[in-house]
Amino acid sequence: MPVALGRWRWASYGFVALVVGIALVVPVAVLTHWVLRGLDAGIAFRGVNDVIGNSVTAAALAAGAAAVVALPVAILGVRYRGNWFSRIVEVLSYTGYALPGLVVGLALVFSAIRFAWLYQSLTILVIAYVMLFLPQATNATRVALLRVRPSMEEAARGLGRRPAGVLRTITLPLAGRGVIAGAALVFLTTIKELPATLILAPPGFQTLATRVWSASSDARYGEAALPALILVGISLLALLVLNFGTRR
Amino acid sequence: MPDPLRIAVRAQGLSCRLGDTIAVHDLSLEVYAGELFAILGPSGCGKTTSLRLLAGFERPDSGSLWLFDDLVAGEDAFVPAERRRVGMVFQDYALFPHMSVAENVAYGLSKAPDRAARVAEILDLTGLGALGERAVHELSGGEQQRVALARALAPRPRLLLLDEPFSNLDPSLRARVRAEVREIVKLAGTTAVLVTHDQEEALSIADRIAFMWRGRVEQVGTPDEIYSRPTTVHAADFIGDANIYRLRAQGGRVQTPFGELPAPEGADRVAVVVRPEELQIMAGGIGGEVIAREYYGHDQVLHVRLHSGAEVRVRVGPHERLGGAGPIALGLRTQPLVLPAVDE
Repeated sequence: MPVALGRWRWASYGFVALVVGIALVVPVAVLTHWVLRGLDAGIAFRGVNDVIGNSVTAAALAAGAAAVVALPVAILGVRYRGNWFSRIVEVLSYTGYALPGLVVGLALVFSAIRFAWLYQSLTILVIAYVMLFLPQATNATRVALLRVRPSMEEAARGLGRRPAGVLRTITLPLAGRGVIAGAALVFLTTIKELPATLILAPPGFQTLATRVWSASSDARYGEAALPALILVGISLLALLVLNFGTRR
Repeated sequence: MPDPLRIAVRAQGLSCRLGDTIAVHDLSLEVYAGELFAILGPSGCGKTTSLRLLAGFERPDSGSLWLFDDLVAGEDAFVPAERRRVGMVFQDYALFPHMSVAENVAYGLSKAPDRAARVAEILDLTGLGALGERAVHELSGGEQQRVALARALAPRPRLLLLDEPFSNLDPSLRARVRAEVREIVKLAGTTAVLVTHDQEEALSIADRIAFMWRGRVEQVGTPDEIYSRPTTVHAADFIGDANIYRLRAQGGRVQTPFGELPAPEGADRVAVVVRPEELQIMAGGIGGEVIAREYYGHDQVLHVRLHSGAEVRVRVGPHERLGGAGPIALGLRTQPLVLPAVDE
């Protein structure tokens, strides 16, 4: 039921503008200011290329791994609803999401410390990311799978295709968009992840987030500003992807 | 044409449990090669599960199933759906939305060398010749249904299954599409099993009908047999319109509103079945009073209370008894059926 606000209309506009301003304009403005000061000092771009490369590598590996792991979990959840096994898998896949990154990181350090090849490796970092963000990929894949009617898969089997062939020719092409959206979400969330990355990253392996952290804890704001601004841009991208993934 | 000497489907004592309910109970039937066979029954009677057993989408808990000479489900045999060579038309058509009409039809032909020719041939047979390049969502409901049929027929299945194929169509289209589908199936020369809850559909296009009730097959016969000589009260009640009187028999005889009749042997309680069209207005017949009238145009149904107190519906021509209420006398065209009654 719309209500005419009269003069209050301008006040409500002002309030909304205030919220957006505090949430978006202020941080961007402050960060831009520090980037400019960093440019003056010649330190704004220091090491930024490496940091972007590391972030993209780790996040891409995590996104790919999460998409692959999410597919069977989502299929179990959608096609074998109510089956005790699929329920256990579903609940387990969510526990990582509920845990703080710090705790997952620490737990993995304790486990990986027994294996020299795993400790402080990119592998253990990617495992942590998958544990933390798997539900994002699973959810997007599940929504897409719900749109593939079971009768389509049965029709394909009746026409002589084995289950793997049905997955390849029917299920994946129809649910592909959701799988990609899920992977993209994991990518974008991973890039921002800080605590688990701080604990598990290989020595010298700095990501955008850990660079912002380390530079700002040393009060080197000029160096922290550009990676932080990039993270803001990535967060906006995440919103677009969410929109793409959930659109009918 | 149906060939009773060749059995396309033989089911023996098939039972299938879905969760806590027994969906199909001790199902035994034979479908002849070349036949259009309908499984008819109310929703939840197990007919769709029966069809899914034939397709290989459900595994029976007991019993055996042969397709032609191959045992496809039994004690320790189970041939999965993809190796049964059984085509299915789903109730929702289940067309692949990311493929064109022709790609849908070609889907089951991946290894065949004459693929393109076969697609053209089957599109032609189903009257879809000009629509091959279209996306499936651009088609009307009737066209989508023909694509589903073409796709199922393309790999030359040994058996074609149709699950409520006409239920998603506009009622005004149904009769015509039914006739078309029957013609296409007959031209393709395939044995077909159709599942429906619509008695008119089953009666009008099937060569033979199995009537199912609560997981069991109660009667198998031609449409005429099923309609004129139902063997159970359920069949009489579900298929067509019927006056049914549940009465007690004594000494092999039963007193009915239409006189004394012989009762089936050993039956204590019986159901007397009279189709409304088996009654006619006849001077000097059983006397009664018209209490209501439903006028349908092509005919009308009179509700009559007989002097004995029983009520009966009588189907008469559109021009009779236009006066409505008043005394009437009725005669029977055929002897009423007396069936053993069962508990509901």
